[in-house]
Amino acid sequence: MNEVMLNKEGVLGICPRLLELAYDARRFILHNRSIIESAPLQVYSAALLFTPESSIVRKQYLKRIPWILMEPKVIQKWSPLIQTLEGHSDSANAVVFSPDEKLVASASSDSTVRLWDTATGGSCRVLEGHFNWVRAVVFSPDGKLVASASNDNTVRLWDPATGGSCGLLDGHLDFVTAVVFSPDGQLVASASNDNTVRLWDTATGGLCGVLQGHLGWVRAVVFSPDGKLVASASDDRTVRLWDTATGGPCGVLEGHSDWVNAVVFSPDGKLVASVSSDCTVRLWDTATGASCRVLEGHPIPVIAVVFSPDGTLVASASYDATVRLWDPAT
Amino acid sequence: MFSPDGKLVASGSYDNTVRLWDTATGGLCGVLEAHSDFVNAVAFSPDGKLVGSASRDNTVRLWDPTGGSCGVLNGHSAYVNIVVLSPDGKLVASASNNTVRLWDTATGGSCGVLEGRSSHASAVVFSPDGKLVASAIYDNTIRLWDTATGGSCGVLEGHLDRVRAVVFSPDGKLVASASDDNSVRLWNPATGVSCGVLKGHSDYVRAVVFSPDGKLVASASNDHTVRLWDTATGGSCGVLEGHLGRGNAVMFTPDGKLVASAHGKIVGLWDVTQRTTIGEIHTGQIKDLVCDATKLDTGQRMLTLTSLLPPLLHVTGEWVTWDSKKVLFLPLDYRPCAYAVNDNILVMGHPSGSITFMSFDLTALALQFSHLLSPTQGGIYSSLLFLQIITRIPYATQSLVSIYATSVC
Repeated sequence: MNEVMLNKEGVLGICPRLLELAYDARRFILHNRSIIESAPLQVYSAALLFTPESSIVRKQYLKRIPWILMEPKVIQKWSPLIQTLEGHSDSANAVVFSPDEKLVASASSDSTVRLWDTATGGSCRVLEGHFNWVRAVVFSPDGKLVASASNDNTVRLWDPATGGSCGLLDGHLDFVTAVVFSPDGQLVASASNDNTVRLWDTATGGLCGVLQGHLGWVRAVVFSPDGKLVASASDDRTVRLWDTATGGPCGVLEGHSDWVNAVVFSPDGKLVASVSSDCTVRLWDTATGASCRVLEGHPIPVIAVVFSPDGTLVASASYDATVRLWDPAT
Repeated sequence: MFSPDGKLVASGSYDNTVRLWDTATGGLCGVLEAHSDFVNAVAFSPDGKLVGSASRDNTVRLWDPTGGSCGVLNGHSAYVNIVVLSPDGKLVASASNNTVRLWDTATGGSCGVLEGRSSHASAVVFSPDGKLVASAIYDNTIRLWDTATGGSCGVLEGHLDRVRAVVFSPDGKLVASASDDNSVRLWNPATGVSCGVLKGHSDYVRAVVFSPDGKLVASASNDHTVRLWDTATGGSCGVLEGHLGRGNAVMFTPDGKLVASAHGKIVGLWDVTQRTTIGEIHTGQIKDLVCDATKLDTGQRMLTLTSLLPPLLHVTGEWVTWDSKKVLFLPLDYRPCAYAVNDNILVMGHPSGSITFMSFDLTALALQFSHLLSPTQGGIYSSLLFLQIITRIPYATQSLVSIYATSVC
């Protein structure tokens, strides 16, 4: 149906009402997937009853249900929420698209990683093996591997095609809080509450380096776009830069006055942005390790930061319930 | 006190008035003023055409519930504490601290007096046919009178301590009495012979009542329990135990399926067949329990009985259930974190802060779903109070992954 709908040159393109119906039917099916799967007869009652009022399918098929006197008030139009993927039995902690966008991976406190079909919302795989909260999940750049980090002190590698385990990266002495693939996919970096970042060989699962130096929990880890550097953010109020090849320290970015919660490289690799519980966003020069800018505005701790793909904007997210956009150049 | 048709409630007050209330609207529909001191008790005649009131001014007054005074019964020389009307409405019995008197409602004339040291009554009751009056006397006896002659016709002796309550069975063939000697006794009023000593309570028995079919007796005690007894055998057939405190009144609903018991400020509700608790209702200090087909009066607060009965609608996990049968699937956004049911109305509160109202046709639901087998029988008595939050369903809204459309067609 997706392909039919995208082909606007064809039959649907010359018949807008048919296109509308196809769109509506697709939204209806996705919206009510769990009803259709678990209680198909409820399509004629619950599914139609809880579908937005302006839905063509609802208008066409919803008849008065004899045992319902007052129907529930529902929203007027389809909201941007296409579908809710139900399956995890505890908090979902992280979610990521595969590079080809065909899959969604989610990490949960129920100790599993789930893979979902982006088009249908169907559950494809449940990756079971961790025995504590899964904190982070990422796809490798080629999409052929999934890495997950857990409070069971390990990182696990999985084949998203089969759901099989491809490796257990065991060595951290405390919760693993973040995991990332190097741009070429050959390395995995993991950050832990044991105050270290560890580098692992993706192919063998072997430990390639223990990046020691932080004096507090490490909350985030990223590779530079060229893969030559690793940046890590820690509760010891510093960001540290490391040489990927040697595992040696390349710089300690000092300035934050509270936990550093996230760190990221600019797309050209020249800047590092970090956010902290001290309520600031800081920009650093990758080459010199010097602080370039302190972006102040959030009234309470900042928890996430990203650069726009062209590097002209920085977005920061805070517990103050706002996302702020910053110009890194001024 | 309810009128026999349940449409009125009469209340006696320390402001010297009797007030009449409309049970449908809760509105005041009459104030009967004439007593010169506190009104201690009120009673309706069975046809509802007469109200009697007992006062601390030593009189009993009779009233027309539409508003007029019908007479004053003078004769008591002390506070009048109890007033009851005979089943045919022709007689009034009243009790003061030292006498029990019988009156003709038509003439206001005295028909009999029980006086003396041993005539302080804690309860007075007419037999269903109106031919007898039983009064529980503080000398540990129950005295029976013949209403035709006004003369004493029997003394029921056996209790070892004060008798607190006395009732006739619906057919009039038995009398049950509750005593501070921790026992309930059954008597044959025709012969005056004891037919059974119901032992089991471990403290004063404060109240006793027959079931509508006369097969059971329920008793409420200071030992915090309500006990059910078989009137045929005198055997115990159930202990209704909770943590509700001392029992001071007990009542069967007219269908005999529920027992309501008063424990200070709490009404306990019990399922007679299952011998299980259905719930408890906190109300003001309970003076007495009176029950008709649809309402329960605690003397402080009127409770609609339908709202006390467990509703059939519930939300169980992802489903709206009716009589434990799955009826309507709730999509995630419509699942409640709290819900309330009033008869056929379901109100759901969602984690987002929104509220959904739905109402159901219970007859149509019965037609549609009653043939289905319930997955679990029982366990549905989980909610009681009208539009109070009755349950919370814990589930983590964070355990979800949402896909948002970046553009809506």
